[in-house]
Amino acid sequence: MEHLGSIGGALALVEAIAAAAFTVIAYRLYIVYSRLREDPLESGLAGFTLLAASSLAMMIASLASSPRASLSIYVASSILAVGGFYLLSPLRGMTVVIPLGGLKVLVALFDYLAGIMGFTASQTTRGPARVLLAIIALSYMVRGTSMLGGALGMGPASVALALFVGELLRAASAAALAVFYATLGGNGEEEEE
Amino acid sequence: MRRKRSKLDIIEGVLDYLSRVGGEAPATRVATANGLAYDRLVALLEELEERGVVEVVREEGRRTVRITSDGYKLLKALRDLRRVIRDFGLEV
Repeated sequence: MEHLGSIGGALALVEAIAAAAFTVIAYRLYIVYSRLREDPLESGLAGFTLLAASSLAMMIASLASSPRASLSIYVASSILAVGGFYLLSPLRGMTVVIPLGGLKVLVALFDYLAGIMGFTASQTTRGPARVLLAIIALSYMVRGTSMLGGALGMGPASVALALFVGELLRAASAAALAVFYATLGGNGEEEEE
Repeated sequence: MRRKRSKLDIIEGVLDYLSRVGGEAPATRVATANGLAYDRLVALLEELEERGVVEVVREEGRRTVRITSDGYKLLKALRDLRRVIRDFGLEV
C-alpha cells in the first residue's frame, strides 16, 4: 500500500506543476485581456483557468485519503477539463449546445467527453499544443475506458494499470504543455512557414 | 510564406518599436517602421490610448506617441504569450 501512496504523491506533484504553469499562462492572458478586452483572449483566459483548476482538482484527488472524496474530485477534474477544452475549441464561437444526443451512453463518463473536447480543441491548435492536447485527450479516453472496464468486470489489477498509465500520460502531457507555454517568455520566436 | 499579421502582432510591433526608440516617437515614424498606413495607425492609437497603453501628444497637427508603464507591461505579456496566442488560435 505504501507504494500506492508514493505514486499518488508523484502524480500530485506533476499535477501541481501543471496547475501552476496553467495559472501563469492564464495570468499573462489576464494582463493582455484586461487592457485590450478582445473576445478570443477572454476565451483563452477562461479556458486556461479551467485547465489549471482541473489539474488542481486532480492533485487533490491524488492526495485524498477517502476513496469517496477522491472519486468525487476526480469527476470534477474531468468536468473542468470539458469546460477548458470547450473554450479552446472551435465551438467557443458558436451558440449551439454540445451535441450530446447520440452520446447518451458516454455522457455519464465525463472522461470521454473531456477526451472528445480535447481532440476537438487540438484540431484548431498547432505547434506542440496540437500533439500534447491530443495526448491529453487520449489519456482521458484511456481513463474513461479503464473506468468502464471496471464496471464491465475487468480485473482490478488491469483497471488499476490502465488507470495509472492513462493518468501518468495525462499528468505528464498537461505538465509539459503548461510548462512549455508558461516558460517561453520572450523567446517564443515566430517560425515562418 | 509569411503569415498575415494579426491585430495583436501589430500592437506588439508598435509597442516594441516605441520601447526600442526610448519610449516615444512621431506617429509617422511608428507607421513607417511597422508598415502601416497612417490612417490605420491613428485608429489603432486611439484605441490604445483609450486603454491607457500609449499617450498621444498632439502639437501643431503632429502626433507624438509615448508608451506608458501599462504599455510596457502589455508588451512583456504579449512577448511571453506570442506562441500561446498563435498555437491556440487566440489571434484577434
